[in-house]
Amino acid sequence: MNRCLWCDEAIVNQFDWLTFFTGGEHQLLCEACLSQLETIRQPVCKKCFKMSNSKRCTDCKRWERFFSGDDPLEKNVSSFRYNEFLQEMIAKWKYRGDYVLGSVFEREIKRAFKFHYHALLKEAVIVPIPLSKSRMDERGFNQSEAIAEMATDDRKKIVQLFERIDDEKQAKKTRAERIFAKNPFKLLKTTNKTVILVDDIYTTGTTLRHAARLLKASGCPAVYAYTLVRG
Amino acid sequence: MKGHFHLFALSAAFSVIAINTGKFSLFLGAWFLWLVYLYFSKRINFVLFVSAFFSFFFFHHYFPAYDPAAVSRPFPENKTYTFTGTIVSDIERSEEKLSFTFLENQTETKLNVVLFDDDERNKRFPYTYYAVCSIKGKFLTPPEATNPFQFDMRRYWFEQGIAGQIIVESAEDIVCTNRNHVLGAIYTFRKNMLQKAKETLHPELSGWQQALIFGDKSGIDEGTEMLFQRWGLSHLLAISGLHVGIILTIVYFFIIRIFQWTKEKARLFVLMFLPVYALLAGGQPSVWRASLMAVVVLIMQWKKWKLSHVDMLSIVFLTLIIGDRHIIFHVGFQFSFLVTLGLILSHEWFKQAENRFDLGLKISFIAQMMIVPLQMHYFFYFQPLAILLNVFVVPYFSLFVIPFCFVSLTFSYLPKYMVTFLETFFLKLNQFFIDFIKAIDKMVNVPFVSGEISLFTACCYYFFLVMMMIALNKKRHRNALLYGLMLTATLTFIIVKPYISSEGLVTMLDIGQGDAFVIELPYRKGVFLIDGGATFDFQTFEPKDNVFQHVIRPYLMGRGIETIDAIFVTHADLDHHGSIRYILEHFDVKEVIVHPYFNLEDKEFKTWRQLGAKITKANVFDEITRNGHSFYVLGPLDDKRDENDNSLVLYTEIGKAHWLFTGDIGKEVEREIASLFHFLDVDIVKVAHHGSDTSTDEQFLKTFRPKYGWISVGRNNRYGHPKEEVLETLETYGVTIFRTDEQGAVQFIFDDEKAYIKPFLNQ
Repeated sequence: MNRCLWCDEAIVNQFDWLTFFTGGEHQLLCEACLSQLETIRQPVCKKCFKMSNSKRCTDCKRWERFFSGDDPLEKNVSSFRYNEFLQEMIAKWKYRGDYVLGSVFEREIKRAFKFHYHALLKEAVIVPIPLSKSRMDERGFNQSEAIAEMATDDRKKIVQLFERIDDEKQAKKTRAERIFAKNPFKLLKTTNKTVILVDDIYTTGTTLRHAARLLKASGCPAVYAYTLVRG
Repeated sequence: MKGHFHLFALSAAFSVIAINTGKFSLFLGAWFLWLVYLYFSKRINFVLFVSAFFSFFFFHHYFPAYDPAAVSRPFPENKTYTFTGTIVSDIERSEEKLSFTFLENQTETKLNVVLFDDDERNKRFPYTYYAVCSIKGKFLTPPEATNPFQFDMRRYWFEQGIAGQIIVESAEDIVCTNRNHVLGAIYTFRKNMLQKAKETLHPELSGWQQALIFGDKSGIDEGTEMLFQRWGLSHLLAISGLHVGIILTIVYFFIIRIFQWTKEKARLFVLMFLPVYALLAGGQPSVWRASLMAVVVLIMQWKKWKLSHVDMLSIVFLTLIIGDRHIIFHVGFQFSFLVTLGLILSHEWFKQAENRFDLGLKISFIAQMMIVPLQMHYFFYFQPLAILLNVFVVPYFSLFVIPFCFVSLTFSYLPKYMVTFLETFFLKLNQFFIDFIKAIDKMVNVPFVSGEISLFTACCYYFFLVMMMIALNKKRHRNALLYGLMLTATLTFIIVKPYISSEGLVTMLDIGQGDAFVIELPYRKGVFLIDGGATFDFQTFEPKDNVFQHVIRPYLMGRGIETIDAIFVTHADLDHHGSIRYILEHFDVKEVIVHPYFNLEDKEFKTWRQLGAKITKANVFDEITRNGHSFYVLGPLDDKRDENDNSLVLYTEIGKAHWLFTGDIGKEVEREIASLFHFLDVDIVKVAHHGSDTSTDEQFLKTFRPKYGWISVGRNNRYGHPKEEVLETLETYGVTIFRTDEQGAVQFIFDDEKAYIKPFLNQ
């Protein structure tokens, strides 16, 4: 029997007009859990995908001012809104090592890449945000890499360009600490291709911009980002 | 298996369509391809794939396939026997007859026993289910259809698994010993409940109660029943999910709130109550579907099992067809499951509803759209406005009529004045509502007469419906509109088809002893009738409507005909003009054409006048041109002072053949016409007066030399028509004979290139 990856309840496929004939997709979450995942709906900030009525949210305006109009990050795309349910789910996935749970997001990640970055991906490379060595040893896998692998079937598109020096968990820092922290990344290789950065959560956007700044400075033409969750 | 029960239900459904349409390989192929798709896209595993595929063959053998040649006749016809066996159904009682199903011992076949005896005794018929009987009666096989689109009684009985009928003359010819059986007890209980309702309640209220709670429509006014049928509301009169749901709600309310039972106890009670209720409600397939569905839901709640709605519906479907293989041929069964499936698959779309009205409209839309092709197949029409009317009528019935009827079961325990008050309230309000529907019926009754729908058109219809619903589910409104337009185009094509068809027809309907011809010109340029006879009561000489209802109307509707450009009535005999009044009532008839000496005092004639018919008198030598087609009037030359001899004689050219319609003229008039119009070519002659020896003169045949003679005559008629000597005369002159008593309806089918004559029965 097919059970929900989150709550372990049996999953009942309710057919609709399409799935009655096609047999329907293999569901990983039950109806009740699925309904707790909040997908991001329009209207959103065109730049960072925060749900917002103005085209450019206050966060992004602040970043514009910070970089004096030269924000290294072109655009971020996200799939889900941050809520308690998702917080728990991501915690179980990345901190407690439930690797399979990540596959719950696969269909949405594929859809988002196809919808937003289909044209871009012909040229661009996907760059997951790395974990530091000690974190990697602790968790056994990098969630950003896992997302990148779900985003494309072409493994060659995924390249590692960074190394992480800082060991501190982002989640334990304040907003100000994050924004003014020193750049935790070190560039290993340079690239002249457009880059799509991949991370699990966009909270203030600092991490992505640290990475983007390094890339731009070393000759990368443009930096985009995909984050599973927009906090 | 879980999540895949529908594969087997669909396999059964497809195999039965394959049986009915004779397109075995088409449906098997489609079935196979679909399963291959499911298998390769990993929706089903190999075991499921194989078992679903082979279940198609299983069901194809499981359901009885009708073959007119192979219908068994366990007893010689029309002979009186004494049969022994067991009553295996409830006893159905109506005003004029009593009937039940009987399992005959020797042949182990099921027979339908009918007792036509309006004597009080049969009302008190004391026997019930499982009684062992010896019955003296005549064995009959039900009549087969002899006209296009006529309801085929023989096929119907065959599909119900009944081999024939026993006609019993008197209640005394049935002698039984009752045996105890739980079903018998339930049926007796039902009979007593019905009887009690009749005695204590106002007849109108008891009529509604019997229909809506006990599934017995006999108490509903026939006009109201027809009204409901015209407007796609019949589902309210047949007990279905709606009724069962309401009754369960009331029962639950009472036992939990009033009697303070626990939920578990209440559930157990309802679980036992449901099957008993299905029997009390008359055991129609829609009741069984609804009750079993409720049973499955309750068991799942109880055991905490999880199944999808489609699985539940499929399990109920499979249970019913395994319980009785004949049920799948039941129209109510097919409608019931198709509508429920449509509603289940649309749940996402229903969630998008903005308010209750919107939701009601959506439900009504799906319910009606699901059955359109079936409705056309069985009834040749559908009522598009039914979708709207249902939105108002269904809530009225579910909130008021059905609960009221159920609660009124307790009325015999209430004081008289309260009952009178409640009854008056119900009757007043209900009358108002029925009058409202009647007013709508008068103003905007625009049924969509489609005629028979082809398999191809039906497939197109369902394809576009499914595609439209997929698009609506996904909120792709532009796609939905596109498919909606294709759906409309399909429906439009159905009405337009006769107008673009180069095929024309002349049909001699088999109405028994009498005449009825239908002429349909190519491209539907004109539809004409020559005569429309009826059978009549030999005591009162009143025409009966059975010929109209069973032969003429189905034929016209089956051909998608709503308007008749002209009806020629050859003369005023009921076997030629008895059905005209019914045709005038139900079809748009532009003109009725009669001979000049037509008796204005004729009762039928007066009725036509009252129905607002435009009546034209045709004189000899007239050329009557309607819709560009000419009929030449060859007679009567003068008043013959005899109705038969005064018959309108018509000559016309249809499909490059020359036709002579002679009514009932005698030999003398035939000779007169032969001498006056000897220069005319005649290819096909309607043999005058059903082949009576007072007609078909040798001189007449010698003059016109027709190639074909059409005789419209009843089987074993009391006049001995057609006479042997007439047949011999026709043979002598080389006339090929077509006759309705042996060949059923006879059709002349033509287009620009070819023409042929096709009798309905091939012998």
